[in-house]
Amino acid sequence: MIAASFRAMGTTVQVTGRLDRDIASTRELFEEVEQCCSRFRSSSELSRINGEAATSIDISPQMGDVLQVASDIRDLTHGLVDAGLGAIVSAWGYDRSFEKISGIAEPANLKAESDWSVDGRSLTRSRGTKLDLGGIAKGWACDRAVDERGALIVNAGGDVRSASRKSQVDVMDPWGHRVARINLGVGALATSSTARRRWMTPGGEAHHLIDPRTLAPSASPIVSATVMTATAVEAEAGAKAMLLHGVDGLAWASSRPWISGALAVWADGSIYATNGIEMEAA
Amino acid sequence: MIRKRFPAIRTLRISAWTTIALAWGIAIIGRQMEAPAAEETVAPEPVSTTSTVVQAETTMPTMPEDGLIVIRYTPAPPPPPIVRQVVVSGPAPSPGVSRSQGS
Repeated sequence: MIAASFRAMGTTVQVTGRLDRDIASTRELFEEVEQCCSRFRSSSELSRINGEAATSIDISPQMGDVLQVASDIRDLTHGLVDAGLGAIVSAWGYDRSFEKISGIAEPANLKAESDWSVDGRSLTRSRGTKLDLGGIAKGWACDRAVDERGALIVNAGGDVRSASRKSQVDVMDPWGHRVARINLGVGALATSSTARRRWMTPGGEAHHLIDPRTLAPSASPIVSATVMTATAVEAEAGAKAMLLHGVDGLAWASSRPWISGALAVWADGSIYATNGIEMEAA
Repeated sequence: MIRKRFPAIRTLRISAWTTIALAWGIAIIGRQMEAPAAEETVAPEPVSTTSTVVQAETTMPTMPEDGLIVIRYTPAPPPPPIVRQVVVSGPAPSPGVSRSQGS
């Protein structure tokens, strides 16, 4: 077994595979996906799309695949996880790689504009709709690495996809303590947290998880949500949606057939989980 | 005959005036020291600030239909999380064990 790690998509990617070429291929894949889907690279396809004035745009097959998944995720979460809210995320200051964010003015007069659809290699969207594929692209890359590039386990900043029956994941709380060791096996797990990517605005701290219902950073009592699903892209979206559901988040996750287990760290440090999660408590 | 320089009555008078002067001085100094303290007890009008991330009041989660596992219950608030930390790369994980802390 070979393990390696590298930086991609603004995070550290850890890969376990059987052969060197599995690792190399996974690394190539992440580079390709970043070049396609990064908001922070001016040369990426996504930057080109967001910069275009046209409402109907031809896109690459890879972008078409990612956007189709993003569209499915939007339906699955009833609009809570929507790639079309890039303009709102940017307005709150997250318009550059996180390391480069500094204090920004609090946005005013935000308008919820997310109107887009994808059909194969064609994207249709309203003029004000800007796409943000950050989390979805990361999860999608983890899934492709395992399904197509020979990786056994991929962990991209907390989005984990595994093809190993024996895989385990240590879930950490925002304060760096281990909460539980989850027996993941074959499947995926992701954690979404409002406690890590934060920055200052004149009105206080902001974070990257924008609630599409309020167009502001979420005020959920959940500070960290972990969800287990079949694929990393579902886990990433499920964790975000659960966090945005707030006090109802665990009940919501428990009632979704595509979520097999969920765990939430509350703002007061309490930790709760649904019954579907197999773990060893820390 | 040596004239007594400080007759008793004069000594008494000096002592009395000295005591009065000291008491007066102490009273003035005391009042000046008390003044800021008195101001401090009047709480300043709080400046109205809107917090961007308003943390909801701590509540229990809604009970899922198939039950809820309470792993840890801490009614006392934990220390504030670290702000502006992007990725904590810990020690290399043992094979098969990954870490998930979210992004």
